[in-house]
Amino acid sequence: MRVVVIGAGVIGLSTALCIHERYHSVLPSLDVKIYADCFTPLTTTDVAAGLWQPYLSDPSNPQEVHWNQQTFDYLLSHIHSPKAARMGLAPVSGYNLFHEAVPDPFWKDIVLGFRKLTPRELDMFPNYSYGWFSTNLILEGRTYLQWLTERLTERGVKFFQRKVESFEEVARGGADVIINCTGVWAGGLQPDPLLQPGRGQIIKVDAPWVKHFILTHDPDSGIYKSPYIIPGIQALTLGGIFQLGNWSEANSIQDHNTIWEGCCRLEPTLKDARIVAECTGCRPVRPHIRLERERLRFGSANTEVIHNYGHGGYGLTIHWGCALEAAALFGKVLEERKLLTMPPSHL
Amino acid sequence: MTSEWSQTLFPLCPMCVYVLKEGFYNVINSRPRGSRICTPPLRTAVKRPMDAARVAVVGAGVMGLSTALCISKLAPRCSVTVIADKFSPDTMSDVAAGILIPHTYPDTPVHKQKQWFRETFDHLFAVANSAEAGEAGVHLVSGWQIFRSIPTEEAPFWADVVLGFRKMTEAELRKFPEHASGQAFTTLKCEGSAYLPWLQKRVKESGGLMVTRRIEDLWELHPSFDIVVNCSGLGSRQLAGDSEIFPVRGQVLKVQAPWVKHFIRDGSGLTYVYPGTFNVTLGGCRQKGDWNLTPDAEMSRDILSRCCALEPSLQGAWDIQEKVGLRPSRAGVRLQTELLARDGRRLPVVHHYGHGGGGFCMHWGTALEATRLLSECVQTLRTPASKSKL
Repeated sequence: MRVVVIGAGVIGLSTALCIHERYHSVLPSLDVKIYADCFTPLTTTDVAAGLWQPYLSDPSNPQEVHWNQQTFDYLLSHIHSPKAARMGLAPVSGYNLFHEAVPDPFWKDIVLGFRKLTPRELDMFPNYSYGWFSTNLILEGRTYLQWLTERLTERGVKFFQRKVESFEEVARGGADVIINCTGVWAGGLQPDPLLQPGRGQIIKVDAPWVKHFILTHDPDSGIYKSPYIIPGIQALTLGGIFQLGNWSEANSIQDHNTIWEGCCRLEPTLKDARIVAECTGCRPVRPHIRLERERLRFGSANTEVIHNYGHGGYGLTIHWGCALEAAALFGKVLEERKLLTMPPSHL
Repeated sequence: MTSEWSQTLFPLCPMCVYVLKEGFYNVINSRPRGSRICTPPLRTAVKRPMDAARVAVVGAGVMGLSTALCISKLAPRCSVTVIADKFSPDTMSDVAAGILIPHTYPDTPVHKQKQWFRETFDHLFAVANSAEAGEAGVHLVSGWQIFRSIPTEEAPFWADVVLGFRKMTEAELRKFPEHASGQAFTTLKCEGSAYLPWLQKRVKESGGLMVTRRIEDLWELHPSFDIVVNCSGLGSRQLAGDSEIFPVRGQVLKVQAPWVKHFIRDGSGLTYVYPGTFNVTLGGCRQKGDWNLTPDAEMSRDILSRCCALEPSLQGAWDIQEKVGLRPSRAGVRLQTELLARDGRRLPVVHHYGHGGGGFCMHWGTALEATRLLSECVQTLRTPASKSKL
């Protein structure tokens, strides 16, 4: 059973790991390969600040609520482990700020210690009159991808640097199942009018005294268009850019100024912080995630494709739940082909 | 040399050799300890308004420097000189993690402790939210105080001074399987190694002077100074003849673990994890009457083990440095004026020491009170009736 995962961002690597963990012991012929045209540190995941937090509004697909929860629980179970830091994982508390009262989000009981902000806390943020405090998680993209790569390499999964032009070429190369984790570029393999780039730019600074995340929200601007500050393991990420339809991966001076001014207004202590990096990435935006099977026929053989893309700005937040779902879909493929000798062990 | 000497307020000893470096007069080649060290020279020049009260603050830890700053800002027409044998980074304050979680002083009324804590919290909160926060080493930090059993009191006296104080949820407590209850809140951390230099800078900007010198007897400061503020911590055993002050030895590890963003404090206060700007402080111990400043390897192993039990990710910490500090402990903070008298000479002394492990928590509140006491002394000095007595 030859599986090819296309894409080496968080979705590709975590799906590959999840499938291998669940099925390699019950399917001796399982052979997983990863094809990607770029790997860490050049993927979209590497640009992400890595804060676990879904969007504020309920997802259009209620399954996504479940996948978010599964991801949080999975990550939380690793917090106590000495290897958490090597995964890029740590608890982080912080503030969500609003100009007016808003309903509680669907994820309020998933994160820890969710509560409203007290008046004295709001005094710290003069432009905002309402907010939440919660303990979330940080999962730094770059570190997590390196960790996933190590786990996959240990398991004998091989990586290949190549630009895939079509599902057909991969199928004709011998793949039985293709996992499509191509993110914002999925349209290149199969047109998808629902998928669009949501360009984001971030500045990384050295400000180790900032221990909290601060996310601001402006209903008129929309998600990620309002300044945000997210501490990482080493550096602090400043952001606030979301441009639908913009494919440019170059840093823009105008966006730099928008981010810098917005974040310094929010957190005056940043005045003298040293800038260490600046990057741009295109979030794979879609009204809901495409996570489903598709059977394609090339020549005389059927090739199963499992699509897993379109995670917008919440890929790290939802990745493990999606990986579990993709692995379940893979399991169905195996059942249909009568390849499973015994039920897969659930880790 | 002459012009520099004429600007000092301190009786520089003709036997000692001084080097002026970055605003500090450092003594080199001074006479051996134990001998009557320095005799005042025949002249001391004053470059200040005629009626400025000349204040000497003894001690350059968090108490000495914060008091010096309060005096410069609040006490009318005073000149301030901070005199200490040790400045940052060699003070006890440099070892402390500086987290604002108060201890309790049995001999001080609770309302007073709360007032001091609130004043300190408000002062540091303003710094933490300003552009100076990075330089001053002051920042907010959230975390958990956890108890193995359910504590008797619902909430400590300082619960409404810190931010967002509440009981931990069941889900949060799952992180600490050996503990039955806990409190979550946001407080401040004030790091000596950054805060002390920042205070020094501000004292100097206000015209204050810093002098490196070991004082063996407060009378050395007479007659060059009108009032002494004694912030010498454990040094008060000698300088104030106070046998009620004793060391409580604390050992800590300062480690690199930048992924730790929350503080964790075991309810007894013996074991703690305090993340700061430059490192994470792991502690600790409380050894009464122990003056030993050398780190103990077995204690370090014990501290690391206790902290890893609370936060297993600390097993990945690197660059572990051992530090020892002696908490200047006393049943209550000594904040009082004493009028020293000898051979017809008088020297008012404002005592401001004895904060034990609660120094950073209370420093601004007690410094303000010490400044009030000092202002009263200045007032007394200036009234003609008292002048005639001198």
